[in-house]
Amino acid sequence: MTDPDTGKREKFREIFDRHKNRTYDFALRMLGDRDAAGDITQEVFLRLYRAIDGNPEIGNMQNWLFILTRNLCLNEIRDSKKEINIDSLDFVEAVEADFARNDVRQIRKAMSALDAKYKEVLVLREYEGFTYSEIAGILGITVPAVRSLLYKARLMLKENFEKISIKR
Amino acid sequence: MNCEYFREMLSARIDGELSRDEEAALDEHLEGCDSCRKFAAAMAGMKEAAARDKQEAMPAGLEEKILSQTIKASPKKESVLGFIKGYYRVPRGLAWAALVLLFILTVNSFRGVTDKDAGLTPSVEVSEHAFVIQRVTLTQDDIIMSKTTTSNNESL
Repeated sequence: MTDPDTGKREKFREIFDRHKNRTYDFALRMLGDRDAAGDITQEVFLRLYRAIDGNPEIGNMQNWLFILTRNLCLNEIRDSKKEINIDSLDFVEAVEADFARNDVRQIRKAMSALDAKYKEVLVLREYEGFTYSEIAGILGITVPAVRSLLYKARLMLKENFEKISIKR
Repeated sequence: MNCEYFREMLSARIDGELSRDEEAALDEHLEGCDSCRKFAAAMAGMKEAAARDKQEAMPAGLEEKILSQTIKASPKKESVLGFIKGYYRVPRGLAWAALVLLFILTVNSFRGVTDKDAGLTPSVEVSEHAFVIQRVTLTQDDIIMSKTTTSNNESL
């Protein structure tokens, strides 16, 4: 007799292998903290495992994962209610020793200082490589709204980037 | 149209999300606008820096942790409801109804014992019925026995 969980496990493994890095990277860039990003990613995949059980046909898996990750990250940002000290973020510090990657560090710093609504749209586009249409699906907005939001986010990023460059 | 309008187009261009008509309009504007050309260079610079910042892979420890809590975890024991539902392929509502009925029957049977122990009326009634039924049966037997005995006696 075959194990009734086998199909579920195989399906989970397939989805996990396909989306694990992008999901973790998205949470990391949203929160700027490896431990918090790890906790969120873990929660996302545990919920996915339970959801596969009850809903064998989750429509758009990619959207489902990123909407959940995004919501959990926004909750974490809201609940932590702490002032973010960009210089103390381990994600930003990780590139400090490498002088060849100074511009990367500056970008990370500038990104970390953005409001969540700008940060999420930029991360989805620049780092996770989603199209405007995919981002619209995840954020629940229209494609023109994504385009406008990305422009504003880049303006804010440019401002932050210039401030950081002046400080150095 | 002002520069703000074209700068939003610039942002869309670096994402490859601009239509041909927009591309042409933007190029025309950039030819005559030094400020927007500088803005375009700044956007491109940030885009390149972001592109050099590679995606971080999930740490191996985290991956193992998630897998050990999901597909590598020993299968949890089926709940009673799950067993009924899975084994008999009945709808969830029906499985619940069966459980509730089972519960009521179990509670009632315990109540019977408890009431009897407490000397309450229902168990007494049951006992009396049982006694009466038994007595009637015995009486009928007695009658049959009696008739048999009588007829035997008569035949003698």
